[in-house]
Amino acid sequence: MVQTKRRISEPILLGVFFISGVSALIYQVAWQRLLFGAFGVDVESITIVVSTFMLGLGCGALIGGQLADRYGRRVIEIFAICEVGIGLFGAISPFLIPEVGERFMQHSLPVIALVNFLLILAPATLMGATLPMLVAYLCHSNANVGVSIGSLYLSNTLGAATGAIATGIVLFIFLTLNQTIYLAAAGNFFVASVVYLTIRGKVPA
Amino acid sequence: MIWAARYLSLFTGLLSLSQEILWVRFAGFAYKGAPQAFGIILGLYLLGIALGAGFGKLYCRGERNLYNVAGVLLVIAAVFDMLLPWLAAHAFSFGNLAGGLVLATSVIITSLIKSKIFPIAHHLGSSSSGGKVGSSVSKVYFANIIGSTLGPLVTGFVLLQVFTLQQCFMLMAGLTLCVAIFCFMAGTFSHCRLYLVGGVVVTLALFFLPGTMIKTLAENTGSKEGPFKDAIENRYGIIHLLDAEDGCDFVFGGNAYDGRINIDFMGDSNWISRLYMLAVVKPQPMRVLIIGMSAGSWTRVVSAFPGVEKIDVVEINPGYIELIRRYDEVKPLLSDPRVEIHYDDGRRWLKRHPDKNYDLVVMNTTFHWRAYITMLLSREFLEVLKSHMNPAAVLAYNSTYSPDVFKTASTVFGKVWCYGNFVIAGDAFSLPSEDEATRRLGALRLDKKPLVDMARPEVVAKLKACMGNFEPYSAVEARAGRPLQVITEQNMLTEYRFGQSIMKSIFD
Repeated sequence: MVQTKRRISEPILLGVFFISGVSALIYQVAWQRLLFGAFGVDVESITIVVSTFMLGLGCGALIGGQLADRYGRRVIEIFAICEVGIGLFGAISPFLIPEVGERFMQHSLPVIALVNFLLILAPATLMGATLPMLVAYLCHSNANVGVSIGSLYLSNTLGAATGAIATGIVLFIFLTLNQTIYLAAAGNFFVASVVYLTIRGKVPA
Repeated sequence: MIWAARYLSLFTGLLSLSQEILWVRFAGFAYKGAPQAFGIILGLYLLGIALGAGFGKLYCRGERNLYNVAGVLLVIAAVFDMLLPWLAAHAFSFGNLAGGLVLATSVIITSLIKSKIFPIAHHLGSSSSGGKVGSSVSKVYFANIIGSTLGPLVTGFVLLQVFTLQQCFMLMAGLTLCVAIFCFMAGTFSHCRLYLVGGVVVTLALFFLPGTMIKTLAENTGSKEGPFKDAIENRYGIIHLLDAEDGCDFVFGGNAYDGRINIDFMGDSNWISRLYMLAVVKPQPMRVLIIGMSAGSWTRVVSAFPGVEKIDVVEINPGYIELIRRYDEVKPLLSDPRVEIHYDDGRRWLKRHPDKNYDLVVMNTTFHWRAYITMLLSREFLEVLKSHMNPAAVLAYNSTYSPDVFKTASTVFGKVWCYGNFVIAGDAFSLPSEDEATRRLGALRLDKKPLVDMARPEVVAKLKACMGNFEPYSAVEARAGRPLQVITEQNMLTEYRFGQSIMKSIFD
């Protein structure tokens, strides 16, 4: 584990969490299309994807909260690792999701639903873990939980809104589906890099 | 009282995500299934959540009773939840720009007010938990996420199947009111039981309001071909009918034109002659696959082709069956032993039935710019279809005048012809002479009776005119005016790059 050297200021945290939110919603819209291509389009698929995304966020929140209490200020490093994890899954998802779809297409619909669920669960869990980690990190300087979570949630969700709207009206016009996913992965790697370089003192905190 | 904060967080998530599902359906209907609708509504909803969380944190400063604050906010939310869908539906009567602005504002307002609760619930559930900030935050957040997970499941699977969109909106408003009363109870506000009874009564009253929301929205955003007749709503979508003077009612799926109830070659109000011409091109198909049955007119005519032994119909929305039962022209196909209807996604059904092969495949494809149509128009899907077609089989589907649809077909099949907006593709078929076409058309039988009377000169004249409508793919390419491109699942060309963007529709 890298020794924490410098504390990250709130504006930088809010900035990286905004980008993390942009990437998350690009993934949601793009993965939805990949999953539909692999497993078929109907209301059940749509509902399962949305619900799985939410459940993964919830599971991640529980895990992230425990990690935040255990690691204190060093949780920011785990946050960076989570971003790398999300980015790695994003980068392989254009190959992974269609491949899994081919292998499970012949199975029953409950099995297909379970496979959909498991595919999305891992990255969504990592995404969900990030909020309580950053809230706990920020609370070390600002003890008001409501204020901390409000600021972080605002930043992350504004990023998410930007990602959701931009995917449909800009990205899909100029980029292919896979290129759009790679852009989101690049966002995750950028966030991890900024956090890592900041705590190592390579960029101003 | 930590448990009350967690319940508050859970119900806020449930109501919030349920309402998002309802707004997505509302916008999808208003914009006829534009592919950008989902992302834009999701983005606006998240924008509202972000702003709400930003404002909500302000309540956490100071010493006020936050349960009562949450209760008041939720009462306001319930009033807006009830009023804004109506306001948005009526706003479209002033044009797409006004409707779009009111819809966007409504989506933001409804999510903003509820999300103000989010930091309040966290503050209530976390600040009294001593030093365990991370885990206490995560438990309240987890409760919110559980609610957010259940919201789409309950609303998407159950409520929209059982109730109309309007009833679902009103139900959410009523439930929001009930959660507000729960907050007042937790905040030890007096006379709560009385208010609870009042909340239930208001919910029931809202729920049983006359169902006019879809009618209003259809009249303001949809086709004006005739008066609104009826709607069939289920979790798969909204089908509605417009009354037609000639009896051939208009059918709309998700507010986009789906077809008309007509099987008459000479009436031809729905250009059903395209299916008759298919009988000319592919006269005796034994096994037929139809993807997208819609109102059943196409399937009914195909069932008249000589030699047909089996018709597999793959249709996502079972609501069309209810529609078909209402019309004598198409109703018999439901009792035709050769017709088997499968409720599934076309691609998934084909992949799950690799042994099925066909002589004729017909796709009733919707507009080339609608959401997820790439899944049917892409080269990838055409290759899947081809693997289910016998060597001399023919594929026919609607390009809705997108020349790229023809280009894509030309990269998969050896022969591609254009008949109006119809793509007719295969590797081994040819157009017959007029005499042979006359014989083939005369061979159509429905309930053992000839479908067209070839002894009538006007029928023969119409056939002759129809034969003149066939064009080779090269003619489509020549008049396109730009290099045509192949539609793939990667580029989603007709949905996004060359599609009818929701932004264009707003500003038209």
